[in-house]
Amino acid sequence: MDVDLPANVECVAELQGHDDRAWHTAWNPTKPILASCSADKTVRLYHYGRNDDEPDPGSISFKHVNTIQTGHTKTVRAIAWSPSGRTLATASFDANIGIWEREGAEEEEDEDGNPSHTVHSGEWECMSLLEGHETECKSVAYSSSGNLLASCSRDKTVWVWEVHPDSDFECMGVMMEHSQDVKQVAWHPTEEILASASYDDTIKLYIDDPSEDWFCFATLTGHASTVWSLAFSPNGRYLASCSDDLTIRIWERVEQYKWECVEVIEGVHERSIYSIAWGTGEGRKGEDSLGWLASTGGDGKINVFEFHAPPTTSETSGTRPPPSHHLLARVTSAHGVHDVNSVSWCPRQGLRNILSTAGDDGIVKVWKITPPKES
Amino acid sequence: MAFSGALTLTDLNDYITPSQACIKPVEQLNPVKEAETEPGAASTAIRIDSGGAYYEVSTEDTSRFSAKKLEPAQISLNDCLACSGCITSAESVLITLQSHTEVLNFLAANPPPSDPAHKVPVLSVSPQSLASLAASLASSSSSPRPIPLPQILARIRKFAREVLGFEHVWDTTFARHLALLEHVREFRERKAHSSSAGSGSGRDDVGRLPMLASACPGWICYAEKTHAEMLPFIARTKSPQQVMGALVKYWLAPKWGKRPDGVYHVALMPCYDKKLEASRSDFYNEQYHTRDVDCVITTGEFERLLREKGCDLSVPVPDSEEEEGIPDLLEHRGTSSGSYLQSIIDALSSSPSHPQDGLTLSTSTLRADHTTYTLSARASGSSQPVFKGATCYGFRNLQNVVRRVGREGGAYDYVEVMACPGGCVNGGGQLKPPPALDGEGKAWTRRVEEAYWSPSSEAASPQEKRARADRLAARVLAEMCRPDGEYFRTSYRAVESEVVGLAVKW
Repeated sequence: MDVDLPANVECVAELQGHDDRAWHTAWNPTKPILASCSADKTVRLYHYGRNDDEPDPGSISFKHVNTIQTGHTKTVRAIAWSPSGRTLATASFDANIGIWEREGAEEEEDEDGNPSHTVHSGEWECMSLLEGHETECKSVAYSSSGNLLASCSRDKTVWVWEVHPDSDFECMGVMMEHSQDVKQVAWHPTEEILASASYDDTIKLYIDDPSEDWFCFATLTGHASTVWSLAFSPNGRYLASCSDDLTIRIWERVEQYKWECVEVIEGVHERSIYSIAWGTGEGRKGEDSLGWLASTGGDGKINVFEFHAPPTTSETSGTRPPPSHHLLARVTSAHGVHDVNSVSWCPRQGLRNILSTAGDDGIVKVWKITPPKES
Repeated sequence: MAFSGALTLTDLNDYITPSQACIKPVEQLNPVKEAETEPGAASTAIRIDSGGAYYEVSTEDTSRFSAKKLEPAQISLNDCLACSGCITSAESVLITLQSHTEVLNFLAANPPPSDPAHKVPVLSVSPQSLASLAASLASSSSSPRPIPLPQILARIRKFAREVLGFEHVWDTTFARHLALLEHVREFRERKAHSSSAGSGSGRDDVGRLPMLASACPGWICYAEKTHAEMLPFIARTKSPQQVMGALVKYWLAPKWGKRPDGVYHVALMPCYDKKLEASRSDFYNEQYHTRDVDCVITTGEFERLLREKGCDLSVPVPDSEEEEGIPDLLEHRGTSSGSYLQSIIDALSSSPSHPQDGLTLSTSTLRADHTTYTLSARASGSSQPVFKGATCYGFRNLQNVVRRVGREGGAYDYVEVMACPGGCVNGGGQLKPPPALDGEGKAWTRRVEEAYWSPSSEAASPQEKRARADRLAARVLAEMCRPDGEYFRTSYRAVESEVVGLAVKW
């Protein structure tokens, strides 16, 4: 850990249990549950809560409460919670997407952090299987409203599904725009704009034409190699992407349907940057804060940047400067010698300085970023 | 996925392009004469020269250097059909085995009619191809009105006979008329069976409900390769192309004193996958070594052929008399993809059990290319649905058909499924939009659709023409009658994947 960085990072949990590499983690948006998935074809669920007892008040502890034997015949590569927190989607290398809900989930309403009792009652059931991808499914994501689900695959396609009642889904679009493997899909935080990242080095953005079909309205080029991961800023004005070319790019929405690269961050990773996540962060932040961006990858590093909006455009200059950023914290060898496959911010109130990582060592780690106290 | 890679050549974006390499290995086709040594003692190796050719060389006796050049493997369309991996390598096969040059080569090599080896060349033209040509001609002329399809057919007829040497030119709408009759009959069989078997699905040998349209070869290919569970639902009625094939080879040919292999039958189609359909083993006659349709060329390929021969379809010709044998351009109201759903709705509406005034049809377009049709009967004041159908076009809607039918099955009685968005007028083999409409694929499809439905200025009333067609159809059915209905029905089978995606870039 770099001592001269402003924030302190501590590993607050090290969750073992997967028998093979851990690919991805997802924080339930409404309940104290963290999910992880792995090449061992399972999803593990952890309940967490704040310890108010001695010896360590305020610390967070995690408890494994459930393992879903998904029935996927290959690696579970990615997972996503619906915004309601009730449904979990799994994307597998067996080309299918699983939709999971808990039996009797309606009754259980305890959300304020008491472990045990309520959380591990009903079994997780596969409510629906979305077939259609030809080969390995790489990523899955719910739109902010929860009405749409997107997936992507090595078959070069991006699919949009409409979520219907009773775990029914209708295919709304199959976009065959990329010329190679599609690595990740990500939704805009408020609008129905979908972004996809691909081995063809591009990012594509899609919207719906209600009288016709979903279509690609923009292709963002600039990365010199595979784009592994995408994250919209919490305010939706920016999109971050990371790549095999060892850079992180920040794209700004300059017009309704126009996004431009405004910043290239280099020299912060020595190997492929596999994953980025953009959260609001926690603690006292100015009006101009754009939140915290975390990145990780093959070099085992976790970098956390704080972003600030540029000063308001002066009428005379016309051009808007890019958002400013500085490195807030860094972890090296986060999973020992192993690659770190993904990073995710906890979205829950009061815990937005918590992030989780999944590594090739099969371990899921949880990290707490503590920014300096304002003096 | 299983749509022909060739389709993607026309810039449609509704298809998944297969990426995997062909798995068919180099094989030895010409029998090798065994060396005069003890059996099993021969030892050979395969060497590859700088040009990429394969040689079989003896490793025993290097002094007598003998290398035999091995034949490169020939990939037939059937190999491609039997493989769920690539259709990409089928592109070249498609182009060499069923192309306009193949047609020209055949016509050039065809002995004169006096020769017993002479084959009667027949051209069958799909109405969607006529519409595509009509829209294309209208876009390049000053008149915005599309040329009526009978006039386009007359021009093609003149060109095909006088320049190319075809002896007969028909459109495929009479074949479609037969296909629709058979389709309705099949629907009734299934309906009767499913109601006699109680609720739920009928036995698989009769086929299940909902019945799914069978005319789109892209859909058939996809279902056989990735959704075998759909096969019992797919109608077994042949497509108009293959009905035309049966008609030409087994009904017309005898009238000309020809055996099935004495006729060379070319079909002009809006779709590349029609080539795959024509080459299915079901449509091959082992006895005569002949296919019902010998060669399929797309509208685009036909236009190229016109250009190469210096033929200008914009020059009017006198409206031709109908060719003897088969009536021209029967209109079937409904959709430009063959009116399969409408023919069933019409049949149900006119059936005695439902007096026409007792049934009401309501339609609802859920989204582009997905429309539902509900026939309701008024009974004691309330309205009861008696039939639910839908048209579902394009890969996206096709996914929902597969999901719905696989899941509940019961929502529809019939679905007109087509793989292309917009249906057959927007087939992968159709003419590309003119430069003015470049990138406006949907606007262009609308133009072709308009041309498809543009009224023909014919003397004969449609009713009279229809009645004549019905009488002829009855005659054809009687003359080609077979208890097994083989001439107008076919079957499907699941294709197992053999592809291991090892050679694929990650």
